[in-house]
Amino acid sequence: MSLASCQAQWARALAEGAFDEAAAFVAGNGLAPQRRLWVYHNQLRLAWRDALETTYPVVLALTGRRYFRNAARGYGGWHRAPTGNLRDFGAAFADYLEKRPELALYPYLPDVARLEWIRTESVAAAEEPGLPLALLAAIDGQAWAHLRLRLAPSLRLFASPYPVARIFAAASGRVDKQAARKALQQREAAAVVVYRQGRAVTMETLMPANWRWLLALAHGRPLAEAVALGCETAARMDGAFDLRAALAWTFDRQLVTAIDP
Amino acid sequence: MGQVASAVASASKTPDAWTGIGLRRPHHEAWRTLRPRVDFLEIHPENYRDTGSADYADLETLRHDYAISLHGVSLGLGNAALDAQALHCLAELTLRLEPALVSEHLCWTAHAGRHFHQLLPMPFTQETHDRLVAHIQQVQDHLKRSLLIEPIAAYMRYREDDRDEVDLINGLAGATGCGVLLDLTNLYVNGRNHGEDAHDFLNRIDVTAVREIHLAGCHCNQFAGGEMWIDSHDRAVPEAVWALYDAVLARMGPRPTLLERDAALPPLAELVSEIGRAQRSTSGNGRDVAC
Repeated sequence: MSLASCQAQWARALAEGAFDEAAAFVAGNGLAPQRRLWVYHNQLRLAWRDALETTYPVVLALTGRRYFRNAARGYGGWHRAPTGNLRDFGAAFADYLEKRPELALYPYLPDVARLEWIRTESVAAAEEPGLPLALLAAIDGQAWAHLRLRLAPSLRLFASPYPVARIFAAASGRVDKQAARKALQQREAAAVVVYRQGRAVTMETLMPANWRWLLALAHGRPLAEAVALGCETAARMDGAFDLRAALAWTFDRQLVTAIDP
Repeated sequence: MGQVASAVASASKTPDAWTGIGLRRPHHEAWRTLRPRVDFLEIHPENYRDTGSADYADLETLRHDYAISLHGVSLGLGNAALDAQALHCLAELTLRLEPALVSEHLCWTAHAGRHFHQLLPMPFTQETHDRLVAHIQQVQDHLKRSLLIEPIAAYMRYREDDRDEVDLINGLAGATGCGVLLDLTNLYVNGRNHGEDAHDFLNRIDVTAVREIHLAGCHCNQFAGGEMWIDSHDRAVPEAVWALYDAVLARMGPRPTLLERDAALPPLAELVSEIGRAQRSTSGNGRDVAC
């Protein structure tokens, strides 16, 4: 048997737990070949499950261990892991949760998973020192419109029609669960920014206008354009966009790492 | 030990007498603050690919006090093609960290673009030999240095094996100039699971190719109709594996020796104490020992 066909049969055994075909090339040596293959299948299942439990502690807390492990098993069969790095394994877990019909009753869960995933991305991102606001203040006001503010590599922006930050905090035991339930009932949307300071990942909920402004900056838009988008969003939401406050917030958190002319 | 390029560790010891511990994230702070006296740290490059992360910053700090060994798990030497992303990561970390040792497992990990995150066994055949030779050479050419290959713990052997593992490994070392990372727990587990003689393996392996030793914990799963020894890395090294270590020292003298622990991590001091036994053993062979 060629290596290619041998590995193809192995792959089926691992992914589907169907051992009979692959058992033909296994030397029993006193044990049923299927039993030997099962060891690998089981180790793989445990490795994948542990990786998901490490990446998604909040989804685990929300669903309970039993359901989570069932979902982890399903994901292992569904997801064709495109890299050999186990840290990447959970990348599509939210998409998979979205496909599970019983979770239609908990439509916020995939977005909670997405939030957890971007937190892991933030942890792995490069650390670059933030600039002081005084540096921007020293630039001629005439030039501001065209400036581009480069943001910290760990910064991630996430918007959801569900109050995912409140749900996240409640499931982590940081806020009252009642508040999260109320926000969910009121269909409170969330515009969230995630970033890292030192080793700690921080998550904050922003006003929609500030979130839109920050998103424009993250996409490399010039300052004037980002401000216009912030103002446009604020107008739509019946509010105002305060550039001075937005700049102070961003620079205070060391989130601007370069100012490009 | 011609492959050991870095010698930041104990200046009074030859690299062959080095002892080390696998660096795991929960121990980062203890390593940074306690700086226990071992010679080298071994990392999985996959865990440090994000070179801007705080984890990587820790590694950069630690490498001033410890030699570094890169021990890959996802290159897929036995795959139809090497994992390009893993090779890129390994090459970048090799450049940045100037590791003393670089190693990978003799196994396959992916098929048709789907990765399984397991060290899966290869049949011991000519086709396997040819594929592994090509891939080991590809890695060595890419890294411009010698690679150590680690025979894995296996829970099955293939019906079509036309040679045993030692013959395969000696053949690979001869054909490519690669070194061998001898994991004595794998050897022990394979002996128990397949009725193979670990001492026969040690007597026949090309000792000039063996450039690192691994030690780890394992356990036995018993079930109706049999048992299976699992290379679990979740407990102390068993006495039977220490006995193999003594046999290695008697046959080939000391080699850089690493303690691997991946699960049920105890406090770092416990691991330092455990690897101290290897330090004392190598000292008994007339080599220096860490204080």
